[in-house]
Amino acid sequence: MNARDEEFGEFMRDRASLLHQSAYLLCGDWHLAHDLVQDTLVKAYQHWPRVRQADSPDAYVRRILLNEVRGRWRRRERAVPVSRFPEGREPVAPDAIDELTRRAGLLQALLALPLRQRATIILRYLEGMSERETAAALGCSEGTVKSQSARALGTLKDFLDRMESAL
Amino acid sequence: MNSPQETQLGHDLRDLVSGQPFTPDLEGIGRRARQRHRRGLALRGATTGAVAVLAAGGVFAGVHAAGGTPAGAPAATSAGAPAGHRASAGAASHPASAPARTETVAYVTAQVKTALANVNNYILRDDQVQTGPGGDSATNWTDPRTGNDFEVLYDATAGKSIAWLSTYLVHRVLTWKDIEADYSTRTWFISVIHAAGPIQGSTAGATNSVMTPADIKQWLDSGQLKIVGHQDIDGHHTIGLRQPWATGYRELWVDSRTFLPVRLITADFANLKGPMKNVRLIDNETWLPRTKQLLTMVNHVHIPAGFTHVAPPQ
Repeated sequence: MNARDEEFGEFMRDRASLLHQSAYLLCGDWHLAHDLVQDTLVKAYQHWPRVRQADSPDAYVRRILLNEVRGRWRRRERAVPVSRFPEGREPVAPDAIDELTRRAGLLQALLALPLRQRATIILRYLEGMSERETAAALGCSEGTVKSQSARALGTLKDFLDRMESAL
Repeated sequence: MNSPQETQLGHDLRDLVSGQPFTPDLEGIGRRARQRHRRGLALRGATTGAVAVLAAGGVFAGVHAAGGTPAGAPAATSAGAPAGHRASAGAASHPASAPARTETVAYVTAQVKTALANVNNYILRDDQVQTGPGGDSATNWTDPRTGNDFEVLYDATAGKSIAWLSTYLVHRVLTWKDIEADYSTRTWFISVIHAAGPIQGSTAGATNSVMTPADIKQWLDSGQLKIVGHQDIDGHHTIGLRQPWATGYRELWVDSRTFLPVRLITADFANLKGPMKNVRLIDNETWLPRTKQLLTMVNHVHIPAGFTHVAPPQ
């Protein structure tokens, strides 16, 4: 193994798992997430000198991942129906099962968001990136991150409120 | 600083993705990156060669250009290679939802059976809706390893209830246990039903309580299936199989990449009149990772606080 491989391996070992989790929340399928991450890592390896010299190698790799997701879904992206739960039920006090059911429904709501909003939520709240880091990864301004994040949170809140009232 | 809602969202997202370790295949990544690099060089060589041929404006000049440019000659043969490589690389990295190459019923059913052989790695979520009057809906989470099932049912008249359903053998006698909590009365009960007599012969597959992968396999073997087409369902490109009968039909839509079931539609018009003629049972299937939370939800009974234990309905 040469120095480049070692350096790349070390960089990826710490991050691959989180990248895989982000890919899953972006596409909703673990198998596809696996493929997306492998393809992302192949590209990161190919351009490793550029990646390691970037201001934020993490943001660079997230950007490759997003481009991979966009490439795969360009012709296929569509909303996942989120209104399967009947409306107008009497709200009841949530219990542990309701909480688990609510979380299971969260993925559905997340997948219904536009890709950029979804990515913003994943980078900010799963990966714990700052607004600045998220902006670097998405290739947009911090203001855009704020507005995308607010919109996405609003949509998710609507969904979760509706689900809670159904439960 | 995040709001409590944002903090909760972070917890929920981490919870959704827990329990799926991932180790990158660094050797494979390096190999594929080098293949792509070589392919890129070959393509550039092919382009350079072709431009040179066109510029020279003749066969003679073309031959000269191919001989004079190191990348030109190999490019002529390797230019076609990427397509072949892509095809063979497909096993490791397949397109998101490419249609199956050979779509005979035999091919599709064989692929579905293979896919169903590996479902023990998942928890199956089944969102069932009934179209037409009534419009009940239910969500079931099934653990294929234990056969246990957790159900959240929304009945149009009775409201919400939750249930844990398990099926097991007691001295070869099939036994169904149903632990159910009713939110409208805030009560819960346990119901245990035994089959009339012991099972004769093999008991394999006897303890399944819902339309399980084993049932789907059996259905696939029942014959009279035909492919009814393709459609996109919840982001999956799917192939549909249909089994018609005198008073209805059943359709199974499977992902054309993974061949796992995505939707099951059952329509039986026997003895139905008026608007009930339009009733369909639609099961949307999602194959979820076996997270600790889901396993707990499916395999451990948790009666909501404040519910009263009552005798099962007769």
